[in-house]
Amino acid sequence: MIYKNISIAATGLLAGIVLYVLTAIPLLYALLAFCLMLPACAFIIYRDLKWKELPVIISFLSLFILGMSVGYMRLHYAMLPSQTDLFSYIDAKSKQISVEGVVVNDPVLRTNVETELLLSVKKVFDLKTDNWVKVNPVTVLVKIDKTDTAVSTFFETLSDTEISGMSLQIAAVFVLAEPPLNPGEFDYLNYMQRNNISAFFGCGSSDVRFIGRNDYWSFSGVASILKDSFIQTFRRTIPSPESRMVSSVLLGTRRSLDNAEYNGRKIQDIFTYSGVTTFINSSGLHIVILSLLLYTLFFALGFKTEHLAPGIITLLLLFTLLSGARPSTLQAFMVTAIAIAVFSYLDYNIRKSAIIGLSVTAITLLLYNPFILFSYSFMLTFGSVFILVAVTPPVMRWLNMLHGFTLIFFTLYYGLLVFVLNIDAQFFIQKDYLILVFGLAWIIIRISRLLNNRFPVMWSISFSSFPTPIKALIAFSFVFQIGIQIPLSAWYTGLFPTSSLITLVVTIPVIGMVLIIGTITGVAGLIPVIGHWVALPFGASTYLFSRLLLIIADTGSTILQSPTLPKPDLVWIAGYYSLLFILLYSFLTLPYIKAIFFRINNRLNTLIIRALPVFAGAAIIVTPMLINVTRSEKELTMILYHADKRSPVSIITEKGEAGLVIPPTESFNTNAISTGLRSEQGTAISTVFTSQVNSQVLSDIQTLAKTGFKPSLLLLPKHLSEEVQNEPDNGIATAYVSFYNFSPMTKMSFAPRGDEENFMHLQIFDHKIMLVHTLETGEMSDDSAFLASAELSDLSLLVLPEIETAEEFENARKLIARTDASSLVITNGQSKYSIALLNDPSVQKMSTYLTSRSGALFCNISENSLKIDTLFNIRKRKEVIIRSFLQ
Amino acid sequence: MPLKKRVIIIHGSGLLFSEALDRLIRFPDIQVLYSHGTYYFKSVDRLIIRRLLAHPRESRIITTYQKLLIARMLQASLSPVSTPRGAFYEYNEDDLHYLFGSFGLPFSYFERRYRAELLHQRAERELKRTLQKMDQLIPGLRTSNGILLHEDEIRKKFGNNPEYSDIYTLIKSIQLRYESGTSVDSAVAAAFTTYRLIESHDRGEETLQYGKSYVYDFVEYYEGLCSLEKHSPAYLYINNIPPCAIPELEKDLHYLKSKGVTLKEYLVNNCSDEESSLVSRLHRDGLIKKTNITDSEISSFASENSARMAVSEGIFPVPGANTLLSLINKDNQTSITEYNLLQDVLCSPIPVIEVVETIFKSIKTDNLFRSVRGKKWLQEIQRLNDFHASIEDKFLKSVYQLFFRSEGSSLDGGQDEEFNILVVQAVKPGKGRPHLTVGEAAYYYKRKFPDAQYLFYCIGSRLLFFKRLRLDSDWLNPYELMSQIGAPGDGSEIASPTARPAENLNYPRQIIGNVGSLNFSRFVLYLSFILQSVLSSSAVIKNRSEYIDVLQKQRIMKIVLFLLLCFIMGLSILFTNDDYRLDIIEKTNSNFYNPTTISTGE
Repeated sequence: MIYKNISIAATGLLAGIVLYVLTAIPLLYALLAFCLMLPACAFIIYRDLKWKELPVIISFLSLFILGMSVGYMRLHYAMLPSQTDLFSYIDAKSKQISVEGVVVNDPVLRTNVETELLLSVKKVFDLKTDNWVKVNPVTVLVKIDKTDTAVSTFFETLSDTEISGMSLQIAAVFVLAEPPLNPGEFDYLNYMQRNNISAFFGCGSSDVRFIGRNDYWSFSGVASILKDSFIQTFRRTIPSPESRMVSSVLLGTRRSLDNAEYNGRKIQDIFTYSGVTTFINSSGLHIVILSLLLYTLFFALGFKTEHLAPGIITLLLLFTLLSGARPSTLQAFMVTAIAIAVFSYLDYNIRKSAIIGLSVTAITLLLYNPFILFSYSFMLTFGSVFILVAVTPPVMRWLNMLHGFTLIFFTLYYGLLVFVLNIDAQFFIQKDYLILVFGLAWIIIRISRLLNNRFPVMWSISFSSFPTPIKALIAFSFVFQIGIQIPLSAWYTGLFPTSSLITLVVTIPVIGMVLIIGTITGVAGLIPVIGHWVALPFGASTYLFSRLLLIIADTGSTILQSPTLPKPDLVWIAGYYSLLFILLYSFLTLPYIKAIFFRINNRLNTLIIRALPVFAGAAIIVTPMLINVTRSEKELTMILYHADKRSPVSIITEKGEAGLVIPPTESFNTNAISTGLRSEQGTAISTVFTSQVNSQVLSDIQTLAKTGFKPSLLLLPKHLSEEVQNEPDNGIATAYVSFYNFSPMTKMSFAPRGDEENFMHLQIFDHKIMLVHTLETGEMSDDSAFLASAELSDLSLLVLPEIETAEEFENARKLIARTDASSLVITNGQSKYSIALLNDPSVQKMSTYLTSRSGALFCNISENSLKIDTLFNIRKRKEVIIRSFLQ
Repeated sequence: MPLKKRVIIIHGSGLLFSEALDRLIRFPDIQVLYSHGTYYFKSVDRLIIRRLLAHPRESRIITTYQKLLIARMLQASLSPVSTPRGAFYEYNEDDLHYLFGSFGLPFSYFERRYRAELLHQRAERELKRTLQKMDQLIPGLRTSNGILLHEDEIRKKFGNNPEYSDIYTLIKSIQLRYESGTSVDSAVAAAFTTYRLIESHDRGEETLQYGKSYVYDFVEYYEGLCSLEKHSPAYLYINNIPPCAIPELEKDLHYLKSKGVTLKEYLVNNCSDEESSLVSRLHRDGLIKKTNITDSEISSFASENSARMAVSEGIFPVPGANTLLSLINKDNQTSITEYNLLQDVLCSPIPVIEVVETIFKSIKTDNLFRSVRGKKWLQEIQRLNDFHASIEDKFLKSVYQLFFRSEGSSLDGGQDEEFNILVVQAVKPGKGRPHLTVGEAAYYYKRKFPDAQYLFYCIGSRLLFFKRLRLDSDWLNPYELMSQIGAPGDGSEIASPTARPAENLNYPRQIIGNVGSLNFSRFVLYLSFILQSVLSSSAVIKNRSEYIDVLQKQRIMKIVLFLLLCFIMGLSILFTNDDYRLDIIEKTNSNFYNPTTISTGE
């Protein structure tokens, strides 16, 4: 009963946090619910202890509402401004502050010259008294720039995981965290809120002083020594890059794979595209694997369950510290340790123990920091374990029902889905295609069942007759895909590693072997004097399995592409999981459905009823085809990104196809573009439209391709074909045009010859949009070529670059005076001329947007309207937490 | 007037070969109901259903029966009914899918109907030959005079006959399911009664023949006597059932008399005054023709009472009888050893009737233990013991003993009584090992825990089997007890009364919903609560589970082997792979983890 109570309370807590995010129910109601439910729950628990049960619905509702009210109030409390005395020590003029504290995380290397640390501040320098004073410990984020060339190695040290646990003294400057201006940019506000970070400081690496290590002889100190020893053993017994891989898999040294390559590809990319990264690095599942390994080992040695639990938990803790104690690992450790303790002492089975472990950990962590609910590591760790526990049994059940032709056809269907996904993810995103996918499944089931009836001998081939480990492996990898990989890939990375659909069945046991033999190698290396020689054969075995893992991952990700998935919204995710659970657990309702259908069939045993399933299948298949044939474009989305000078623009059709307009520029923000496209359901860039190509732009396009958005066509102004001798060699088809119909409703035109770098036109439905790239055209007279060719009448939207000179200001005014555009967008808009333009009488009648004030712009364009939304408005609408959730 | 058959009643349950055969022949007419994912069978068919559905595709003949049964189940599922009430044996559709998915269990109505028809046709076709064989077998079970063969004679005749071997094996396994065993005292008493009957008639005009003139039958005391009507016209000989244990003795006897069945002889032992007066009255009324109730001395052993009756009839003494009486009284060490041996035989899967007949035949010649050893029974018992030893860890995984102290009842003249119940979690021998019957499990626990009197053999909280371990234990009435533990109607099975605890309205589903080995102790606690309230006595729970790791050596060997394999594999790579050289390792790792000494940054 404990597990039910705890799991329901934990679910309520989660629901309470989500409820706070989505609604604005007065806190009083939550408080009232808490006061009512607390005694009710106490009574329920008392009755349970007396073995007197109340109806399930009463206990369920009471505990759920109690959890929900607690979650709601906790988040409300967490949203209140943090109370810290740290700010009183910041110098009012220079914003400087000197702090001393311990690094509490692995450093995050944002760029090669910028790293970030989380510092738990213990002391602060009081400028008034000229003394170091103790303060209540608070966590601050410190951004360290590599400002000093003299002690460059010190910056490297600060960027290394070794720095975790060190005491540092930092002379920093207070930085005001600001919201991002483009989609995909790092959101410091949310990050700080999620992690209970009180302040954001910045400093150079020369401003940091190393004080010492606090915990050298502590448990984590021992772990650190062991970690060193393990890595040294790997260095001496396993060739690179396998040694780096083992270190990364086993010890979580993420940076060890930096620049490591295999077959000319970065190993990190190979792992990302093959889905291995999710499995080994972020989910904490290696802790679960290790706990199973340790349990088997101790059990084999004759330990009883209740005796081996403390030993396993201690070793897991050591391993957690050994592997850097990242959030996912820590969470996995907590879940596993509680589950082992419950399993050993409270006589619950593994499944219930895991549920208790999950629930207790979730309650503990969420009460400590409710924002953690929306973090990737929390979702991945908890999702992995929960999905394993909750989804594997029904999946196994369904798979066990596969016999004969059903099994054969299901396997072929699965292969077909992988193949289709490899071609285009849109088949699984567009509703009509999705219906087709389900319809095909239905038809296949019907046909295979008919064949089974005709050839009963095939029934003996069944999934249930497979050996148990194989069954478990297939079921687990299937569950991992549908429960974790698909939704979280869509949510966070946007890349779906298709190859993992095939290779995970093999990679899971190989990773397990790497973990096991890698650990043996590391342990063997601890033997004094001869350790490395003893470890050598085991290292060679580890090398073999690591190489195998590399080969599988590399081959899989080379053969199968990783399509880009659009960013789903909360409703989509909720719908996905709801549908998943309904489908998987629908067997519970089968007897009732059967009873109804069979009664109908008994009464109406006619040919029509008999043929109904076939008709239904056919209808399901035909309907989407009809929809697709008759469908016309109704709406498009255009995104104007924030940039310093000129905005890149992307246009996304309803089918998720995107076009990208790159203004003449040195480089553009690829991360913002890929995130923006995904947020508007874009999954592929078919066309890049630019009037100027340089090596940096081509490099950026390649970077974009890595995120899954590899453009297929590069369009340049027609006249350039006469000037360019050699087409740019970038693996993308290039064409020279004056205009291009991106979609039936979208026409993109370069400016006439001579002005092609100055502006371009877009016509979406009947809305004309002018993108001005530069106003540095000299003085613009009324009869200037620019104005003559600009087609300024009937404009709906005018997009101007940042105005940096008086001349540009004048040109902008003249341009505006000639148009009747209702909306004006100025890229960036921080310059005084841009601000001055806003005060111009001709501009004041227009709707104006500065990207530096509103963030990127999202224009929803339909036949009758052009609506402009801003990133800031979207963030505001989604409230603070949703903001972090959607980033 | 037809000759009345003598029916010698043995306390316990069992099924004759001919009866088991009859059940198999009538099996195609078995009734199945389907409601909300569960198939319901008549409770009396439970054991044969369990036997046939024990393992998929176990043998050709069983597979044929399985096809037939599954066809019937599929047909039943096409016409679902509302949940039937009363005692039914339930079989879950999940289990059917899990175990018999390979038989084809489509979901849709028409496919299912088609499949059911197909399976039925196939089963009928395959069974046709088998049923023909069974029909041929029936006359073979009797002599030319129509006398039913002894069980051991049937074994000799058909056990090694290749034509009938599969049918014979199936029937024996079904018999085994129904066999509950009996006490040494009951078996010897039955043998003495047979001897008396035959000897007394030898001197008369006719010789009694097994199957024609006399037969054995089983009765569990709580079952009542009405079921014996099937022998009409007949004389009954009962010698080991306490009068008060038969729920409605007088009514049953009146009923039987009306049906032409007379209780010719009723020997009682350990009788209270109340029982004594009841039996005396029934004797006076003519419902009991002969009884020992008026004897000056009544032994507590049924066999001694029967022997005294033989002495009074001038039949005894004979050497074998003295040996058996000495054995019953455990007069010396040899007697004790032989008593234990006989007890083992009676509790083992050897048919009770065969044992009783063997005892009977040895009375004159005094060669019981030569016969026992000559029949290879001991090898069978040893084989069973060896198998039990191999899965002893599973037997002892979840074992609890409930000790009850109950204040005096009518049975013992108001004295305080102590008794105990062994509650165990059902044993799953593991894949590839033969299925374990409740009788086999009881045989093991009886030997392992000689002090245990009753056994509750629990398949989770779904099904609980009741077994008497000490066959002289008459304290509990399983019918009443099972209906209290389970749902109304539970406990009506004869061979091993069952209950469905989870179906009890007061069952704490939220606290102990799915009972497994881990929460079995909580289930035992729940049972103790129920038993305490039903029996009005206090209970003490003792955990008798033992942790036996029979696979520990194998596991350690596996770990060692794994390490050895890794080591050898590593060595082979070390010596054969050109990429794996120390210099290459050092060179390729030169840039990996060269930790910079943490400077002060100054």
